Amino acid sequence: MSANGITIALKDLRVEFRTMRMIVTMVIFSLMVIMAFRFAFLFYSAEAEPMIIAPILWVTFTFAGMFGLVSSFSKEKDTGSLQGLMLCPSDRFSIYLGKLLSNLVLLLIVDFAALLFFSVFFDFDYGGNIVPIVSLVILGSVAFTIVGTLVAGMSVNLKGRESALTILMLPLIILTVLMPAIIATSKALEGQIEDAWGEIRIIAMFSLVYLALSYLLFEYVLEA
Amino acid sequence: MIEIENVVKEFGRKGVINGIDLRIEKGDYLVILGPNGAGKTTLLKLISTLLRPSEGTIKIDGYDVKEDGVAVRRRIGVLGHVSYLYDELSAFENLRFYAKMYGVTLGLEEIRAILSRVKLAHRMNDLVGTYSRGMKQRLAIARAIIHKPKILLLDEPYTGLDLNGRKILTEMLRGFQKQGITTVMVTHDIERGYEMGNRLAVIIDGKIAADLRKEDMSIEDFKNRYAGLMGAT
Amino acid sequence: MDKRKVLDYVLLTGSLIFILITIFMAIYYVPLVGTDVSIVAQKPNEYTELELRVKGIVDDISGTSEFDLVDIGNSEFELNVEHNENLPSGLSEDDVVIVTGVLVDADALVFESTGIEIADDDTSAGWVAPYAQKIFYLHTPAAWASYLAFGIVFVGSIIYLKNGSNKWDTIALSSAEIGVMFCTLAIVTGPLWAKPEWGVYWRWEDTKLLTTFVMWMIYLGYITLRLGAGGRSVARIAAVFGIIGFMAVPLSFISSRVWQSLHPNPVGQSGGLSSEAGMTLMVGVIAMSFLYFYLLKKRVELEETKHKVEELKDDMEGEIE
Ligand SMILES: Nc1ncnc2c1ncn2[C@@H]1O[C@H](COP(=O)(O)OP(=O)(O)OP(=O)(O)O)[C@@H](O)[C@H]1O
Ligand SMILES: [Mg+2]
Repeated sequence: MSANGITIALKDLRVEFRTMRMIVTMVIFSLMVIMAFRFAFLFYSAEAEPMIIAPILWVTFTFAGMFGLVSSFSKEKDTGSLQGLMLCPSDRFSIYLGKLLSNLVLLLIVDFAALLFFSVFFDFDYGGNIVPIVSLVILGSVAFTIVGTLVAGMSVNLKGRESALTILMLPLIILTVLMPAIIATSKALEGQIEDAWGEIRIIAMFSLVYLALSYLLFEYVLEA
Repeated sequence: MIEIENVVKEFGRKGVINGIDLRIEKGDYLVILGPNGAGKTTLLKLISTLLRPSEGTIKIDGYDVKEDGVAVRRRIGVLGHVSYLYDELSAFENLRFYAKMYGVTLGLEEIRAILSRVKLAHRMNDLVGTYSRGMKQRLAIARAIIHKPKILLLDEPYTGLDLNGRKILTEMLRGFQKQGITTVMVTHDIERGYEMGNRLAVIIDGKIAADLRKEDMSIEDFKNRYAGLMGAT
Repeated sequence: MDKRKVLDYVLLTGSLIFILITIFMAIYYVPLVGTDVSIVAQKPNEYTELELRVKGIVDDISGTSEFDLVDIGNSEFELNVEHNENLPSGLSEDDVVIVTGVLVDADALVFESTGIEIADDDTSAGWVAPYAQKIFYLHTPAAWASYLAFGIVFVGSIIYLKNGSNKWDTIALSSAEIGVMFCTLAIVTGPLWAKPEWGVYWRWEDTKLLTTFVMWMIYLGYITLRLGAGGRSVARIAAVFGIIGFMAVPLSFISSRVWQSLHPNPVGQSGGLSSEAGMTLMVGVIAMSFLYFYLLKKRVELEETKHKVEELKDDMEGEIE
């Protein structure tokens, strides 16, 4: 099951890095979002107003991430090769796992690019907090992708895929991933990652819940 | 080999397959004919676990499509309306990917051998996106048989193939028939259907309108009966 | 009269009767929780100014009013204003109120006030607005009905995925719509109470409000998802979403218990509710449940009629061809 998941992920990434279709779009998209925030907070400095940092980062990750999620299924849905995957003799959950992995890799690349863009445009130095921040970004992205891959698989079958993804996904992640991640990142920025255990636990717990739900439900999603 | 019992498939509330019973024995070559929109593709998708029956059961080799999807999928090779191929990968990469997914490890030479059966070995490393329609269909055929399935489900397999391609495919299918592989083929070509199959079924409005053995009739008989069935609707 | 109709009437009259009972009980049966006011002042003379320490108070004061002052010694008095409708709103515990008035009867310690000033109006926790508090008997049952409705969405979705029964899909869809309606009612009535009680309509930092709002968003998403397309793959996707989204329901339900929340926690907390209030709440819950089942039944019937019409239309088109 997981072997096939990895095979699918490697195939996806091979296709992606050959065409660079999504990754370039997503990175540019995240750049645009950071720029938009830069202009929106024209007279603020990240050093002086640290509470704006974590929200800006996570909103950027979220929207850039959602941007990439839909296309992870839509291309294959439209060409029919998704059926090719469904015909393979393994649990349908392995398709979910494959997409989860490839989405995660793309998202992390975009996340790190966004962290860099932020530091450039807001003239901000993460300093000694870079390790906890990166760890939180990874944790949050894993959770985000767990939910996102499931919802993307759903919305690819719906009219208006992108808007459907946004409408269905945001309420699912706001309290379970986004808010705790923002709070935890704010704490990490103050150098107090130890205080963020509560938030980290919330993210981890809900990731497991969503993963279990995906395991149970993904086959129904695909077959639609 | 394939047991279909009282199967119904609804999309939303619209019945597309309206109660089909069919037993296909090992080694059978069943040809399915019928008008556009009759439900032929849907039936193949139900057998191949791409769709889930709303009612009734389908068993392949004793495995229920609803419960033992993995076992069912291992036994079938599917050639569908679409090729299931990735335009951004080469023919070689496509086959290697699907081979891995089916749990078969194929080396360069083995893949080259498979590709030369469909006369594509010389384009092995070109991206499938650069292939012509017929070439893609040939590659799709190679993809469908990569894991040596016991059952072949073919949805209009001759579409897009040139004369040579059709000859290759016919020979291949004959070969499989000799090996005792069960085949279900959907086609709109009555003559080819008659030539290839030993059993001919007609689906109209999601129901089996006729299920005939070839021995019992000449091609003229069959054409007349088919025309009669089509006229009746 | 056929049986389906009987059930209709039972549900409809049941809900109307129980709603009326709830309203009457809320107004006449439940005492206003006006609470104690203790006076920290010297023993009243003929004419004196009293400082009242207030723990939540009734509406406006206008004109003259009488309070019962009970001597509890040490020149402190307890003033019982439980049913007094003449004190200003927006006060809370530890607000110091200056009452100016005349002592009418020194033996009974009846004190007639002539005016009231608020010495210190910083707000803190407390039962401030007992009249607005009546909305609670609508608010809580509506919230309860929305939990019930979303629970049915959950159950219907599971059954639909398990055996593809269109009936349960229709039930899930209908229940989601009605649930959103009840949830909207709860979300709208909440602020109507919160404004006089808390001084603000909404508190974003409150987990109960937040989780409930997210729950509302989720089922709004569910409805949106079903709006566009008729049937086919949507039903299955919606069922999956109906199962995932249900997670928000227990989250909203327990949130005021598990995390600290300013939201009052009426059910299952010791000393939270007087028995009268509890009774009224129960009746309200029964009323809303009746209403829910009535609406659900009607909505499901409507949906089924819709499908029948579509089928007939299809058949007719077929015949014309
Ligand atoms: N996913 C779907 N959702 C709704 N209706 C569908 C879906 N797939 C097929 N149908 C309907 O089912 C009917 C049968 O379709 P199917 O593809 O099985 O026909 P077919 O017999 O293969 O026709 P053709 O000869 O054109 O290939 C058609 O009316 C089609 O509109
Ligand atoms: Mg077809």
